[in-house]
Amino acid sequence: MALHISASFMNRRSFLQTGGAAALLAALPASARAATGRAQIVLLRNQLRDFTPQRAERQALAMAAIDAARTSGAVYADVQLRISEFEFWLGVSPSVVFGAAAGVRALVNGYWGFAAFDGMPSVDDMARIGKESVKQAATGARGAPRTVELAPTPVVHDGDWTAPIDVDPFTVSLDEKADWFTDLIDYTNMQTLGIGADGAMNFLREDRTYASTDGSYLTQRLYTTTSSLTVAAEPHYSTEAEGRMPLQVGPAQGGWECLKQYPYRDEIPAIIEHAQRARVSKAADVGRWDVVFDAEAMAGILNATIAPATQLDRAVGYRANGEGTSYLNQPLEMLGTLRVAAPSVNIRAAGSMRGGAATVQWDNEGVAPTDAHLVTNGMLTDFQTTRESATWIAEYTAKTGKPVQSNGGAACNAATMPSTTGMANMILEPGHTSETFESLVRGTKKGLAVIGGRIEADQQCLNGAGQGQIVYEIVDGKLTTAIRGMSYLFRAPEFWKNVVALGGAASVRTIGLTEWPKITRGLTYTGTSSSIQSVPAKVKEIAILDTIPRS
Amino acid sequence: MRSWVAGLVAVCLAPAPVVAQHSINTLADSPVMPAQAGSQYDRYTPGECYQLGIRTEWQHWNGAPGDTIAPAKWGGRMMPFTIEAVRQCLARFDVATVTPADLLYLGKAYVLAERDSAADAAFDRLIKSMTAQSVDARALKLMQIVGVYTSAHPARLDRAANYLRKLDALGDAAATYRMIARDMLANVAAVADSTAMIATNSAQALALAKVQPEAVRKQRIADEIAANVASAEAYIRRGRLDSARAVNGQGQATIVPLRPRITALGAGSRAKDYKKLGDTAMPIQAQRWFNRPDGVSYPVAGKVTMVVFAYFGCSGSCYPGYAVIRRLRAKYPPDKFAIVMLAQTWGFDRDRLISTDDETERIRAYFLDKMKLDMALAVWQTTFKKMDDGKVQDDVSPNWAAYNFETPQGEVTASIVDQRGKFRLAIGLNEETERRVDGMIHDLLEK
Amino acid sequence: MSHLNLGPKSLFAPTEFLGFEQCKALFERAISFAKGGGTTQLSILSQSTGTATWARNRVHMSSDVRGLQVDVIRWVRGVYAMARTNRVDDEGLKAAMRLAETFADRGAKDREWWLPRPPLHEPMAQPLLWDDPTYAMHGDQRNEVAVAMIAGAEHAGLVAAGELAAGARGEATFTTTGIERYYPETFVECSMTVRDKLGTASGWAGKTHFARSRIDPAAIAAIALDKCQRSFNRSAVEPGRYTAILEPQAVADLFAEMMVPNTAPMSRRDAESGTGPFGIRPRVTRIGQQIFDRSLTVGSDPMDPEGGFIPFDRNSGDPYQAVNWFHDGILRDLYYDRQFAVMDMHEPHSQPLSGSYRISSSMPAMPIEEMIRTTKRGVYVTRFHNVNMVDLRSALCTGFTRDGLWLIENGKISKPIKNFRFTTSPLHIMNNLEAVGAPVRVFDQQYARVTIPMKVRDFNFTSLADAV
Repeated sequence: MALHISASFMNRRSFLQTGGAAALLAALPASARAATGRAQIVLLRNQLRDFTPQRAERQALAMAAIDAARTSGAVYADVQLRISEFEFWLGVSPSVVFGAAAGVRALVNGYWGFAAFDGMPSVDDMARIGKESVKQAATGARGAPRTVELAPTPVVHDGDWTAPIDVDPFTVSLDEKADWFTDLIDYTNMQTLGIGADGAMNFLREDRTYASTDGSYLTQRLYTTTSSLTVAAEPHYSTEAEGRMPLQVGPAQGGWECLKQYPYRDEIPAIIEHAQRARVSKAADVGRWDVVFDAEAMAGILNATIAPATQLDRAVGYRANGEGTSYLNQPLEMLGTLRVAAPSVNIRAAGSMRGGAATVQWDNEGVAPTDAHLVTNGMLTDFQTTRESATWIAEYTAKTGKPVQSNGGAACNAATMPSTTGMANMILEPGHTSETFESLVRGTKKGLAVIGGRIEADQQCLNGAGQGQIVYEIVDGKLTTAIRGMSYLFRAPEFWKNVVALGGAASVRTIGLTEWPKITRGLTYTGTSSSIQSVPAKVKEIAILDTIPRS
Repeated sequence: MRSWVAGLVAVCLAPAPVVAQHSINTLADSPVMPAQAGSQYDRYTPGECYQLGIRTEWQHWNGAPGDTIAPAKWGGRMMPFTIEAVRQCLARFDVATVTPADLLYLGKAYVLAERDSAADAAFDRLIKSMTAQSVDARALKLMQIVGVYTSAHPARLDRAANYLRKLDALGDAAATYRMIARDMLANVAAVADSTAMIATNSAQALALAKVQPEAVRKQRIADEIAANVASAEAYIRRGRLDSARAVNGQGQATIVPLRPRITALGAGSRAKDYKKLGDTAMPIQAQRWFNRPDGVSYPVAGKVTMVVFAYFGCSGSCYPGYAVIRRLRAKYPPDKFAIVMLAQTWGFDRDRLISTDDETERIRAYFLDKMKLDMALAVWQTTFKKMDDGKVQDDVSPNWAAYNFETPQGEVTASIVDQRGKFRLAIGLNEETERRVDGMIHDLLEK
Repeated sequence: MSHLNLGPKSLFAPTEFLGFEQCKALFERAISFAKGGGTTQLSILSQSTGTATWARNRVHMSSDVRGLQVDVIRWVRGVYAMARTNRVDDEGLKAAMRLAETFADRGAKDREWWLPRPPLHEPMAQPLLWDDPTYAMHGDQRNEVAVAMIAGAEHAGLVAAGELAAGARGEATFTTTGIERYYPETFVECSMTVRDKLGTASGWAGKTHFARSRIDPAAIAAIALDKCQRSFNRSAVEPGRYTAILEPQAVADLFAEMMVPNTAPMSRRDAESGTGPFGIRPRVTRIGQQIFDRSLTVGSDPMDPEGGFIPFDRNSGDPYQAVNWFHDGILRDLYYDRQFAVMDMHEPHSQPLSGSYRISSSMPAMPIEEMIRTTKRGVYVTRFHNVNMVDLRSALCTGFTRDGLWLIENGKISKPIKNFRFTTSPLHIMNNLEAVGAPVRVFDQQYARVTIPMKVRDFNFTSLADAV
């Protein structure tokens, strides 16, 4: 019976994870899947968990690898040593993934070698992989002559940086986290009748150590915090359908304050309304529609298209046998001359975004990130580069008068993977208007509004399809009936060129995304997160399909 | 017990843990929340203080062995250390200055901390801050305040009644919330005069249900069904079985069809239960009996009999049900009130298969020795057959056929049979439903 | 087997992968740190991989990576919790224990169902999954093979990208309730993509196996090259429903979403609750119903000669039994956990789903050339990419074709065509079977999968997706 009594002891059971160890393990990031003390235990946990060795010790470890690589004949080598802890909660049940890993990259005669392992290394272990990485490179170097040029970067002598956060989440007790969470759930449930909520949160703390044969040595401590709340609305009396709507905060670079200070109360009413309205829906009319996308949907589309398509190593074919290539596959011909979006569209990669989940002081090659202006007034004007790939477009860079240097795109999902151009923070610049999602809807006589959802694109980041978290039909400037089972299709160039309006500065939202690598050789890792600062947009002539059958 | 925690505490930290000052179980020396300086709650909001109390209480009882008296019974209080912890957390808040959005949760926390006047002050300020809002918004809040008081341990019925009056003053537009508030009161009715309170509130709730706009009435059907069930039960307690059947029948005829797709299952089983109402309960059969006086047949003629179903693998979620059994056994004398548990062998003990004889002994040892339940125990030894899809189909025991009814999983279930061997009530047993069971037994014995 | 004794002298950083003795020693050291009684489980996965990676016709990256993952699970007073780590030093293991115990302290203490006690019967298959030459394969050999694979493409003025990885792994589950499971395997993964410099044509081929002798890198390279060369000047053809000839890789790509280990859609528990593609309503499932064409059988058998796999589920310690999920097209079995097994089936074992499977048919195998010859109009598919299930109830999937797509007209491959996006359900297409071919082990980096080429009617290519 639905009696509206506030949380009693028995209700807590609904939040507790059921199912066996298998279910708990399955919830962990073993593959692409993923994603809960008493006060005296807090201090004990800190003693236990903050086991990152002192900087001097880490330096010794890093140098052992570098020295071994150098004496083995590397022209260039660098080492990543990462020590991390990842605490993730499903409801009020916590779990943890923690550990260390080290990887060395070495360059010999234009060929790369890489050696890495999972575990807390000793000096001997580091020397071993230093040596091994060169041996691997030397093997490759038996092939046809090849040159690798690395764009210059200033040496970082003993750099140290800690992400600016207020409260280290690993100093917050499990009890306080649980109380915060259950209060959020209770608050949500109390907003109206017939609402339930559940959620998850996770906290990542990473100590990264980097050194190179160029003489750089640096350490960084990074924090990434995420929470997700899902609101469910009870079955509607006319359709007997439930409705669900998520509210995701982060991932973002920050600490416990990310969650404590987030204005949940401002946003929960809208989330509840979406969950309720999702219950009464109709099928889509197939055809071409004008669509107003919210900032989250735009971030997802950017993340599936221009963001990966402008990773230069991907664009020239270095992942052709894996994830694929890019539709921007002739960089030197296309840079500066190819229109990839409407003139109002400006997109840049921003490795130093304040609070960005992928923000670093130095990338995986010790390069301090600079913004890469990928799309300027709709034209393709840059790619995301590393020290090696920056030299591939030197010709173009010289023409712009800028120095040939990496824009700081080197990243890896774990120290057991060699660096490539990784998920970077992105910025979709707001338009010079005062448009918001609401005003874009108001200005649409007939169309669809897509809020959030998932987007997938093909191997060239070219053709994509998405399903909104919730979709509404717009009639005379108002959101009307929810639409179910719909997919929207797009082709990246046409999509971005058909942007007719962008939200203004007041409509900017920062969306966090996490990517889990599909196949890894190292086995203990967590997802890689990045942030996209995005705005809503209206895009014309989107193909709409009715995809999901009704049973 | 928690020796490893105690060991770590001794090694690591200075502040002495608060020792639980209670005597009803053996957890007295296990630290729950340490007495530290208020700094540990500096970041807490009022709502988090409330959750702190809920969690503290839950964590305390969570570790209790099954033979302990379970979470505070409906008349009882929260643990002193829970109250103390919430008070510490609330110390820095002032009703006058807390933001309005926090007032409801501040009030909830104050009630948990047994600071009822402060709770009232918070709720009053909340209501004052909402005078410009819609009737719907105000009615929801008032209903929730009633709920805070009815769900408190112990329930604060006078304070709940006070806010119910304010809620009623909003008139027909607040019918839904007034109905739900009355559901809450019917549910929390104390033993002494509970039957009248249940009857009045449920009847009023049913009347209010009909005032709702049709769409709202359909959406809130579960609340109306709850009122219908409570109303029928009040009649059963007063021995007016025909009236009870009539109420149930009316519900089947006028409420259930409002949402046929979702009500069918529950309604079907309730129809089955009410068909049994007033019928003679069959004698219980079993191949093995324990703790049965010679020659006695259950249900026992001349006594009120509680027939209980349980499964020994149920563990934690059934502990509250066992606690209810113990409390009722302690309250009502054996010459007037009999308890029999029906168990059957299933062929497995959690994650492994087990022989019938081993399982029978396992059942006996669990309920009588480990859980220390003072009752007769009937064990039916089940036979089964294998189906084509590999699943096992158990042959239905005669006791199951005669006594079983649908309740949530992981709960002890009970039937109450009166002195003349007639069915009166079928219910899941936990500390929330205990009031209803206790009240029923009380009323039957009064006759 | 001698390889069982391989492994590092020190456990602090495994140099290769962990053998049985190392896993056992690790377990014994770990449990010495447990506090609070109860039960402990360690699930250990360790592996060692050497890889030659090439792109733009050069083996630009050679690597050696040692991976380790240790799940420490503590059941204390009926509650479990887990810490996952790759640290096997004392400090790390102690931390894992403390963390698991701290987390366990928070749960409801009635989760006694999931104690991993050994089952009453103990058969565990002993498949042949170890190949010494594969384990012994070193960087120079990988490099040689890679260079040879590239040569043809480079010679033809095209661009090759690919990967050749070889290594070994060991999986272990140890519990204080007496479970002691360990199994090692070797693996080799070989795949190659050939494209033209402008990115207008692409061909792919690949295979994974436990033994390098079962893989023919030269053939893989030749097929990838050939497919690229036959993919120039692709035409756009109207999307719609076509007869499709699916190579075994394409069948595996499409079926992958059905066979994700221990999750829907193959969950018996979900089906018994009436959800998923195989649930009708609560307690009524499609087990016993005809789901696929009568000739099809889908099964998982760790002893499968081509598709064998590590014979136990590392998470639970339960052995994988040989099982036919679908037999003669009828749904026979779904996976279930031990609770379901014991309660609902009175069986001591769970029935886990490993992700590895074989699809076979009782229809006589038709060569692919014959399938083409007997097709009036159809589409020939090399593989699918980015396949996602969008609706669980119907098992509806969507994704893209990739790396080789041709139109068939009047019994011949007539021309290469632009890629499509498709939307269909494996349940649907495996009902519309017209012909099948001989079984082939396909490329999959996680599981052992053996499928057959299929000719199916009515494959729904919903729109053009002109990526290459």
